[in-house]
Amino acid sequence: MAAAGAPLHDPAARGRLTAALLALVVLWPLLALAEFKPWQLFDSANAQVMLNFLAGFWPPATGAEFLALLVRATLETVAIATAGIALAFVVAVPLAAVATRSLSVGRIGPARTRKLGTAVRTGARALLTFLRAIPEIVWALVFVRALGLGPGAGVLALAVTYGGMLGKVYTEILESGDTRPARALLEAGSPRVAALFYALVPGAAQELASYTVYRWECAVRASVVMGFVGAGGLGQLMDQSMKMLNGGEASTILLTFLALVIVADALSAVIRRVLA
Amino acid sequence: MSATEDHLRLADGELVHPNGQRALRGVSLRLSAGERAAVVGPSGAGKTTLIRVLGASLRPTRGQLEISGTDPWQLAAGALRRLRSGIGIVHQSPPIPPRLRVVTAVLAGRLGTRPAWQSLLSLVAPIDAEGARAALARLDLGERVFDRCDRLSGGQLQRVGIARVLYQQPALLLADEPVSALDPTLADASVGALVAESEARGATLVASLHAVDLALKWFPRLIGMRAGEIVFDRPTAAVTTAMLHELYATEGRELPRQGVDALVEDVRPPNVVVLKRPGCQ
Repeated sequence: MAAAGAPLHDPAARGRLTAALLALVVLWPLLALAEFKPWQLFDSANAQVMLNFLAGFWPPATGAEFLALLVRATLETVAIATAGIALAFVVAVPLAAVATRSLSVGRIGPARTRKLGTAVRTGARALLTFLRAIPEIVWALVFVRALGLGPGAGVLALAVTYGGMLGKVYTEILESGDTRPARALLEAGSPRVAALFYALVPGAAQELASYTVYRWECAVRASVVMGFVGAGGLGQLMDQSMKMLNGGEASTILLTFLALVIVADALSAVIRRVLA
Repeated sequence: MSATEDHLRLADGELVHPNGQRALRGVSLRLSAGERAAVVGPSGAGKTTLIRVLGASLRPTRGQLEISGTDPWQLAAGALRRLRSGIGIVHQSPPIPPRLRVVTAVLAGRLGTRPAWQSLLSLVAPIDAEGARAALARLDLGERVFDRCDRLSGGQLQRVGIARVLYQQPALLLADEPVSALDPTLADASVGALVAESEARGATLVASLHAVDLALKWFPRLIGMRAGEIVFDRPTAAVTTAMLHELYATEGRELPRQGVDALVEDVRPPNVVVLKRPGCQ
């Protein structure tokens, strides 16, 4: 090194090294606790068992009667996911608007309203946490008891859990963008709702839309698990096929999922292009 | 002079930023309604902080601010919001999301005085596109009203920021380096538009300017700041070139100027400031 004077030391280097080592130290026992032993996959006996299981999935079922059932169940699943996300959106938007820190007038001042504002925001965040902390399958079990077997319970379960998830992520997306536009409007006396739509949403629209569509995709998958507890749709069909050890039917259902995910991807791309 | 005649009064204003940096020290200032003053000084002097403190967007750590005789920091939330809807701040870098259309960015100036539902409807179909275009036309941007802001140059966007505040029609007009991204001719015209707005409606105007020549040309009162303190505050006619050189510590070198050579004389006698302001009293 031909550098003149003392060599430059990156003041961030030590902190980064420490963080990396700390991550390793924390991760190792977690992997042990999770009984993560990937080499067992390559053990010849285990591999044979897996292959036999997978072979049962071939060929995919194509019987007319089954396909008619499949179409009906697919429509039901799409309906559950869409209705669930729509309701979740209705739950999430007001809570996110309340919880977003960059829309806080109290943070600009005066200080007296600041404490109240912080309390309300904390409350909204706590509610969002509660909604999403309980898995949708538990909500589904609760609602199945109230509404009986069928898609209605699945819709409500999605609305509650996904409302919590959407609200949390909306809040974080809105806070991670440029917050100066909102602050400037609030400083000129704008109401919070107007500041939200004039200053924050325009910059975050693409990300908000793509996350919402991604959650719709997740809702399609989640409806499988809920179908297992009788909340209707592809899940219920899958449950029946698995119980009858009909791998062909199961693989057709999985292909349907693949198609739905591809549809979600395309939808997301279109929406992002429109909002760009 | 009673306090109620002052539109704006800052007494012994101090501001310490959260990082410990002292941006204002013992700043006292009075402006009567309709008065126009320019704040000049080297960068880091505290000009931006002063503008924001005067606009009730930064609370002074110590000292008292009064706008029309009331301390904004003692007001209830609703009254403060009404007061703020009458304060317009032009920011140096316009706080406008790039995806917004120009018309929406300008109409946002009156969010504080419109019911929220009207403002939300206006996002679908602009409620007063004509008014927005009129404000933009004063800055020579009338034909860009339906363009998206990310299609504009930095200088055009800065003028959209000015148009928003003109459209707001505030009683207190504050501008923080409002023309820093503009070429000399546009800078001159844009400061002229702010001054004309203040004259037409009797609005009080305080602008921080990097270009001393613009301040000399358009403002009857000059406030010189350095290191968070007011160094001088007097009628422009009483400001000498020597005082300006001392303010910027530029002995023997040139003062920061926008370079409107045709309008302000290049060489000034040491103690006389030449003012030429066509079309204004």
